[in-house]
Amino acid sequence: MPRTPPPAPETTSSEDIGRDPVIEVYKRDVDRSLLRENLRLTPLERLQKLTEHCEFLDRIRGAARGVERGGERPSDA
Amino acid sequence: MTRHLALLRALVAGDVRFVLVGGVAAALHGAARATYDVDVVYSRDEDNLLRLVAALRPLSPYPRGAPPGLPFVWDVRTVRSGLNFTLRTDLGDLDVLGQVPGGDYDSLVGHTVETPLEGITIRTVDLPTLIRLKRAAGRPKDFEALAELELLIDEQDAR
Repeated sequence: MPRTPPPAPETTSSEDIGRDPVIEVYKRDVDRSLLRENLRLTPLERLQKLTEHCEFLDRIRGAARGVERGGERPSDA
Repeated sequence: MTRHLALLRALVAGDVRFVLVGGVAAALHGAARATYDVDVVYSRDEDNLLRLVAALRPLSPYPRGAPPGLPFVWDVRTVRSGLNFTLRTDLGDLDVLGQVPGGDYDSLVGHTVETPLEGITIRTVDLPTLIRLKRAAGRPKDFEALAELELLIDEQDAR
């Protein structure tokens, strides 16, 4: 049986992790509404959303490859 | 297509000791970025190597991106003589990591949270530790992910 791991430490707040000015610049482009939406979900729902997102990306990529092989452009449809 | 939950379920069913790191861990904390591969840091204890090999063998693991036909054998000897494996499996891409910049199983397991997922519970590195690991990796491609993770901490603080 797996051994019982030690207890998790207390949650670290944003004050504890320090800040990198480069990363601060990247934050301007993050859609916080998506994060808030995700935080309202359960972990399982978040995982299912991730998997569905990947499936969607796969379909898009598959369609794009089909267009390339067929020599069609999306605007020809 | 990566079936994230099915991969995790296979590891749990095999009693593999591991902690979830990487993009799927980020998603479980609320990150919105898409990621295909499941990244786990596994215990290098001998009994765990046996479990890891047995759990993944039915999934036909093979080095991701390698040409077909290599004499790759997924067994304890292979895992023992290696450390980190980036694999393609029947359930999707899986990175099984003996060590990552910033830690190994023994040093990370105390910085995890239990995450319930449809009948199973996995140990996911906590958000501050995930940020620390991303920073330790030092890859420019992680900058966007780091920004998102740090904002998640802000959002959690605000709740």
